[in-house]
Amino acid sequence: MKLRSKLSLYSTLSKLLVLIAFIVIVPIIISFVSTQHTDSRLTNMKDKVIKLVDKVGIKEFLEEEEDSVFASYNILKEEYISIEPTDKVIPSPVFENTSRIWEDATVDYRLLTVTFRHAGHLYLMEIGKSLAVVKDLNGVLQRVAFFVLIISFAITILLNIGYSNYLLRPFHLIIEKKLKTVNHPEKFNFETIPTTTADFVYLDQTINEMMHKIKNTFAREKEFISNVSHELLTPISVLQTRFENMLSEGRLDEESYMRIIDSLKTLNRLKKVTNTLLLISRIENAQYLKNDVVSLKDLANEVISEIEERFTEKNIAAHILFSDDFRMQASNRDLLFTLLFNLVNNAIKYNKPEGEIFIRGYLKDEYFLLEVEDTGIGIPAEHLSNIFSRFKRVNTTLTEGFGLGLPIVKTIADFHEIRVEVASEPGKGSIFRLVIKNS
Amino acid sequence: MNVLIVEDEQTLSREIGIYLAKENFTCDIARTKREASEKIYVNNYDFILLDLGLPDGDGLSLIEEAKNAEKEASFIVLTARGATGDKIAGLNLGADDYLAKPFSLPELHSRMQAITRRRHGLKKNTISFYGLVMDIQNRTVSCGDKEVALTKKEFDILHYLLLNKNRVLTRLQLTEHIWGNILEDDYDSNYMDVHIKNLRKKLSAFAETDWLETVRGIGYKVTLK
Repeated sequence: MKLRSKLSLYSTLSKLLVLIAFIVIVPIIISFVSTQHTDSRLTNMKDKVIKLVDKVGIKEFLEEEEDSVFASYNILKEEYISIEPTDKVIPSPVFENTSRIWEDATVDYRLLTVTFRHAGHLYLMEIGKSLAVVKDLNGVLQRVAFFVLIISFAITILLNIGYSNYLLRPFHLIIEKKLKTVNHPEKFNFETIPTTTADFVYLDQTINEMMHKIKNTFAREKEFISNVSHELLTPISVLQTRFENMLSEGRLDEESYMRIIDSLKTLNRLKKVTNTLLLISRIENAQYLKNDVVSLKDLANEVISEIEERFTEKNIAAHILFSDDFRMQASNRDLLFTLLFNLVNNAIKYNKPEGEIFIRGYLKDEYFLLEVEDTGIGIPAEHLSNIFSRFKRVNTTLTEGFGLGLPIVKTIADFHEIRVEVASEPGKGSIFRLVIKNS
Repeated sequence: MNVLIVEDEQTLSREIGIYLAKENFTCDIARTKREASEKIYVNNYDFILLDLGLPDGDGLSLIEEAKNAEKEASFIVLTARGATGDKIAGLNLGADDYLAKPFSLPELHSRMQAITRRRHGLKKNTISFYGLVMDIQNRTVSCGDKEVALTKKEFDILHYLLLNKNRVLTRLQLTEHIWGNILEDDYDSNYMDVHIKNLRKKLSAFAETDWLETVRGIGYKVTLK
């Protein structure tokens, strides 16, 4: 998951969490606050009533008789006050929720009960406020609060995502424009990514510096390969042409003739090793283009026809079995040819007379597999890890070859991001499998 | 025909010169770009064999220079730098062919012959030998109106031997011509013998084949008067 998505997800989830917490807590707070508020109003009213009683006397409210009760409520029964004589002292005001029946209707009240003295007598006073009114108010308050909350959360989430996108844009650019092309130092884009974030500026600069170093190293390596190539191949060239002239002049006795032929063979070996090492270096130095689209089935057929005399000579049967063809994008045809040629050539070289070779191609999951199987001498398990190293020949009793065929295979495979797998059983044969990502 | 060999390695240009002289070419040698430039301006060459890495600069610009001076020489670029880019650049600038060093002298000679054929139209597009006719354009060999069915490789081998007639070609030279730069390490194979054997068998149905000689231990030779 991208950093940007993670940040957006994180900010959204955290806001949602806070929102849920608010949704749970807000009604509790509102009802607490409104209860407090109601209670203080009731206390207020009580004080006013007591003042009024002190001012106008209790007679305005109560008859002289023993159990007379004063009660007053407004017509919607939202509030009521009652006063009656009592003998029991309530030490401190009591607030409670309770129901009262008024004219056949039950009404829920927040009730304040106090006792007070007036002119030597003790009176009980109840002041009530309808809870329906309180609850209505609570509801309205809650709805407004939720509405404001949700709107403000939505706005902050959007702002957050927008801002983090804006902040991370240089980072995204660094990835898209730079990091994705690090494998091609030649094509690397050294343009500065515009940003005011110090960390990104530093990151960008560091990547650029690193790529400059890599690019320079690559260029030096290229120069070096080119010079080595010239310095090694020119003397070989001189010797080859001289030997060829000596042969064609025909002034030599037979023994000298043979020795020149032998020298030419030795020289050819030197030339092949040099060229092979240069080829490997050039591939590793990314001097080859990958502009071809190659049908691997066609390629297999081509390799077989190029090498058929070797099959004939050893009486080996080649079977090309492609259940699917695969057109390999962005590849180098000549290099892939060399790769497959080397594998097939080895399959012949290390095969038994009258043996068989199977070249299979098939799709498996997200991969295309190209296998070259032989019925040859096989490779002992302890040597399997060495076969791709340069100049290590597994079977030293063989006079053929000098061990650069498989290193070439490996180098070309790496260049094309192909994995090479080997399975082998000594005495039975080997399978070389190219695992190609089907993208 | 006149050839200018532009090459800073003297021993190499001398050996090339010796070989080409025997094929009736008149050779001139230039060791630097400047020397080459002067010689191209003054003389008329049929071929310029051009090494790219010269002590006083890259030889590639000589091609353009010669074209601008309306010189008709054919260029063959010879380079040991081997960079893939050189080949493309050389051919784009109008070089007629490209040979990577080290090359074999018969190979160079056959390339020069191919260019000559291209340049002088298709007038002489067949080689006649011992009652057989090789059509280079259509890649066929026939006896009268009967065609000898040769494979691609058999044709190439015969063609190469005919181009380098009266010379011994080693198995190596033939192998290199047929398989080119496929990097394979069988430097002493007898696949060539198999091909020659088949070639003789096919041709013997139409004509004698003793002109296609085996030179024991070395290679093959076509004797043609």
